[in-house]
Amino acid sequence: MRVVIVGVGEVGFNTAQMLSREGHRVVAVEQDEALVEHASQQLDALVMQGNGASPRVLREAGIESSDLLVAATSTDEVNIVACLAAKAQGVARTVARVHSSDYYDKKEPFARDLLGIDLVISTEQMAAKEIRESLLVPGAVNVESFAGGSIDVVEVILKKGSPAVDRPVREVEFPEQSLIVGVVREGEALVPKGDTILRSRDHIFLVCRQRDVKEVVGAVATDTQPVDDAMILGAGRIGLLLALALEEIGISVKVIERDPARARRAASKLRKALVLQDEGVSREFLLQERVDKTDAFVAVTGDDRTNLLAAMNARRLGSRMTIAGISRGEFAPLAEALGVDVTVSPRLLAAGAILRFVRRGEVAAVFLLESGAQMIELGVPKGCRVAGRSLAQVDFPEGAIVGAVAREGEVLIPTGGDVLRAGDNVVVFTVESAVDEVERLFAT
Amino acid sequence: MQPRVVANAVGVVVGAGGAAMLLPMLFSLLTGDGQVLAFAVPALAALLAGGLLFFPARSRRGSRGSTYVSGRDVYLIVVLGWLGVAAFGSAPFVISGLMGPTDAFFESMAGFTTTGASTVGRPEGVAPSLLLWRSISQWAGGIGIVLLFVAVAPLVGFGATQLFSAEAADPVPERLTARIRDTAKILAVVYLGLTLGGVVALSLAGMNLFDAVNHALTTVSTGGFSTRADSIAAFDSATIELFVAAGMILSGANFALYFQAARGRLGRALGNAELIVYLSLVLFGTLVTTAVLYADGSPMGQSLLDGFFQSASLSTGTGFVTADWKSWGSLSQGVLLLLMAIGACAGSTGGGMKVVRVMLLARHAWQEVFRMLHPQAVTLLKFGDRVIPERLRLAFLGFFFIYIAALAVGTLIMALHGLPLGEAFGSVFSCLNITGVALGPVGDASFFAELPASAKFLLTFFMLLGRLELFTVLVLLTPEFWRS
Repeated sequence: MRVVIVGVGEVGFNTAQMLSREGHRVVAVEQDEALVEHASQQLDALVMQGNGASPRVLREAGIESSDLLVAATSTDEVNIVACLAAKAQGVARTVARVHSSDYYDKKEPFARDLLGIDLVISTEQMAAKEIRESLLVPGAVNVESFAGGSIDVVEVILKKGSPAVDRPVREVEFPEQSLIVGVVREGEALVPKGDTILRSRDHIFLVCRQRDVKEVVGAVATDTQPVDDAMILGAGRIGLLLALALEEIGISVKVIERDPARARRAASKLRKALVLQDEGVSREFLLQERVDKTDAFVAVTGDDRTNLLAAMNARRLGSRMTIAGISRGEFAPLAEALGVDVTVSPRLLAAGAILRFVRRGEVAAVFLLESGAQMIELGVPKGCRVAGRSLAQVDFPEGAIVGAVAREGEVLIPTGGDVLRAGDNVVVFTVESAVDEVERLFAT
Repeated sequence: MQPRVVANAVGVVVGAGGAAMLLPMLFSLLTGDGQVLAFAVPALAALLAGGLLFFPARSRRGSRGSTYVSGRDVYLIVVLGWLGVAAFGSAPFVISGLMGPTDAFFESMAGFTTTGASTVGRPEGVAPSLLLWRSISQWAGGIGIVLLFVAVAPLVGFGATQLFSAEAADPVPERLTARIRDTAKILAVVYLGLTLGGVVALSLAGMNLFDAVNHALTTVSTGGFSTRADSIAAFDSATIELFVAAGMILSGANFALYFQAARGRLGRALGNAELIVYLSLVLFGTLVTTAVLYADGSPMGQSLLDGFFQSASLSTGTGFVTADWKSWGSLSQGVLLLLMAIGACAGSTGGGMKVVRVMLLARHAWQEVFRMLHPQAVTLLKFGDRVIPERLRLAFLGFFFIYIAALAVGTLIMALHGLPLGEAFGSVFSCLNITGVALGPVGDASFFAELPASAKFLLTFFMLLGRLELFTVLVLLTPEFWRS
């Protein structure tokens, strides 16, 4: 497939990188000289300088012979116009990143119906949703659903005192009908074997039926108190959306914002939440607002450094759970080192959404992790290399594992003896290096 | 300042006041109560004066675009307009020989400001046409001469927006229509509708047409002038009392809500925060006074009726009376005085500080307490889902201070006239809240009649101050205003 990407900031660059690794031909258009240089050095793609909303520039980028346009600049209007121009020149599918909810409102399908944009990506909405979900299951930091919501993969951070810590996996008593499929240790993903010893601060991924989630989490997590209150640093788009969402589900919210105009705007939109105008880093201020008693501290300002430091600070002062928004890939490994529990990156969320869109039909769902690992839901087609064979017989690559099988509405947590049948849907956890091999196994 | 524009506008207002006097003149002619001349002379004089101010000084059409009308002009027009109309409106009382010029001006100002304070002890002995004029003056004052302004503003040659905001009693106005003239028309229709409904209802309840018209006019304007010395109590009818009470409550609601309701947004109108608090306050007053009356041995039905009527009457600043509320004991008295001070909804004809201001002041005060614990909290002043600009918050605080200060200073000056402190305070309180009654003898015709002339003029000043919501009148008293 030939893909034109407009804008190679964090989101555009990451998308280009991912699509090019998937084997697609990528042409990138970027206005900023420095970004053009960076992208042309780092990407296996043709990078052009110019305004991606211009029909002429798009024509030069070969838009007529392309199948997909992804507009991911930081300006909504440019993205929308680029999609319009591309559609007019015959591109089959267009994806636009849109920041402002003025253009992206599910109740008002303006973008899709009127502008003909096939996929609108709002990283802010996705990030807010992601954070909200991670606060909803007590004890877990992340939950992703598969097979129409019947299978969940939960991510739990192991703490001292958990029955799973400092023991090999085979000795840990996980509840029946659940399986540990992945461990992320210091930013590195691996698929655990029976003799893998779990450690404190490991992020472990457990597959189970959706109705068993609480029980499964309870078996390994030390702290399963529900989140009743949260502090949000930064009342930008993510912070405000999150605060509104949390307000709706009855979590008491404090929003901290440095900019007076933004703070006022947030206060005018929120009904119950308390908006505080402060930088949010001073110890006195944070303690006065009881950061030590807060269940979750979420740092989602526009600046990664601020987010990381604030989250670390909050953790030191006693916040139970810390979440930081990280837009630049370079900072992701730091989060773990600084003791931040959860990172949310718009870059990954956008790439994941685009990947789902591009692979629509081939895979049912895909989620990207910061470590490069993926959780994929795949169908088992007739005649592929795994159909009709037991899992033990299939030569699965190191670093990939089948976590669950959905068969005729039933969920099966498989063992080596279980046989995959054509028509099954399977949830696979795989580290980055094994992704291609896994896809080949399930291809016809 | 633009003397020509000011003269033009005041001319129109005074002329319109003269034209309004033709109504009671016609009534006098038909009924033959002998007051034709008492109206004809001032009516002609007002029309002449208005004409003289309007036509010769009229700005040429060609120069309309270049006329800049500042806030100063507007404030001056409003205050001079009220004073002019009240002055001409007092003439019929003088010419008919009913009272002297001072009392007449007091009566006229109490009419146009819808205060309802009066020096007339027995209205039954006064010529019907004069009573009708009193009621008409309240009715005209209730909707505000502003409507007239808005209707004729283009004649004078400037936009009416400033005028409207200088006069309309809505600190947090909601523009109903794109053009302010259309808004004014809507308000006028609501006002007319309420009035006509009042006439019909009161007639059906058993009043004769003359009483029904008069009381409809003074109910809708929440003025409180009556054709009887005993006010509504004279009719001795529970139905009439209920109708009048309902009329007062309807007139104390923001008229913009009627427009919303008529537009099909009834739910939104009923959900208006100010309306809910306003009705709750009336209910609260009713409950307290009823309980006190009932505990004192009055039958339940009568207690409820009296408590409800007085709560509605004083809450809206009308001042109608059906029972001797001044002897209801200190708890009831206190509650009713509090209702008077809080007043009715903004954008109504009622008096007091206005419910919305009190609500926002209370919220502001609470926020100050809250900020003791959270000094960095961003505490917006919200009304419904609208955010009140910080500038307005300060305006509310200033308003509240001036309100208290006006009460204090006024009380002291009245005390200077030798009144007992309670009466001194009561008289200023009743006029500033444009209610016309307070505790003790205050509110009785004999009380006002016996005041020295200077005290009467002072009270007319407080009536105007209250009607124009403090700022518009006070700005005229600053040296800065007159500096060019």
